[in-house]
Amino acid sequence: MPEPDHVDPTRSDPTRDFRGSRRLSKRETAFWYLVAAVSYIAVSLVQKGILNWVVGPLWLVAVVVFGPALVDRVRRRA
Amino acid sequence: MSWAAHQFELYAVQAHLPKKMKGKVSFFGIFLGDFAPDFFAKFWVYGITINGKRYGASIPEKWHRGFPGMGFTHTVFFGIVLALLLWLWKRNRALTVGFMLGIAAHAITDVNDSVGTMLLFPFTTLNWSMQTWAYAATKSGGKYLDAAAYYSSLGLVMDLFWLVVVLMSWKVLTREYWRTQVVPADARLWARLGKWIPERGLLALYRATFFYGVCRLIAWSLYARVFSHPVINGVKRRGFPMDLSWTGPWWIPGGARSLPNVNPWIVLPAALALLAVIYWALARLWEPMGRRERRPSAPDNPSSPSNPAG
Repeated sequence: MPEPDHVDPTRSDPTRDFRGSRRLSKRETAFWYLVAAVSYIAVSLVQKGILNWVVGPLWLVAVVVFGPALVDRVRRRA
Repeated sequence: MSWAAHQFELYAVQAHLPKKMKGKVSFFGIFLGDFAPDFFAKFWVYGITINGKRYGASIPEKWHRGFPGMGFTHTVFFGIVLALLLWLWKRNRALTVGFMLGIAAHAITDVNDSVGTMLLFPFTTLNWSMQTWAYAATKSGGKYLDAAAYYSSLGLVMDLFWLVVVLMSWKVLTREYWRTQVVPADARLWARLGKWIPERGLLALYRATFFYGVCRLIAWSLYARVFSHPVINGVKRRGFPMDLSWTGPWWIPGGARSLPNVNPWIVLPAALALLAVIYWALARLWEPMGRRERRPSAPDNPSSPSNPAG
């Protein structure tokens, strides 16, 4: 892990990571990776300029980081 | 040239490290090494067009893989020079060895197209090419023709081959593998990234090159097969014709590009032998580099926080 174990808050809560962010279940992970792949491929068919080393990896990271956070926020409000 | 194969081979290298290097070679090093040749050479291959005028290499294949040109960036020699500089700068065994493995993987994978790479540069500037598929980065066709040719030829098979290699070592993509084998080798960098990105994002970052490779393979294949409308020999078609013959596809204007090269039959054994020599040499250097890494360099002020041994 990026942080040494003795400062890792996840030791008390396995559903949270070292920053206190929520960990995704396997099913959720698969869902968000699929969302990232389908959306990236769909947009890239229209705009091929995004098919590059920078946008591709960032697209996945952005979807996986912000997607669940956004859904959590909407659920809390609802 | 190879397309998504370069994204997949990173994980294949990571998954098939020698036993004593497992969990100790930097994945970022492998990534940077694999990325470096095209980072230095490729921007001018397709060129850029401003106000209808193209700025770029007049002979793309010569610029990309030949000499004179930037072909030296796709050589083991270039990898050794950069790895040596990296070692002198950082004294970081994990990063240096990873970088060397990455750049060697890139240079050796690229022997498959009709141009190949100068494997034995600077001893000879002849290219080593198996001519499995056509190199199709032309001035007029640019990236689109290159992609269409690659994904209509044995290049597609090459990408799928590397994809299968990675999938057969699927554990390399798991969270557990990342935690136990990848993070420890680059602990400081992952920790720094962890200040900004949650764990699920860090894991996504590790898998991102694989993700990009898969998406790239699918997107360009769809373009080549479904969404393009090329005119070939005066006939308008839906999608470029698939051609899995050796050095295909047949329909590239002007034919497959090539440079003066050695006999294609000796290329595969030579490339495999070179790869074996690189692994052997790195395995031999592994312990001495580790000892040198741990030895403190004689600092003027041993209590200085900038002491690299600290």
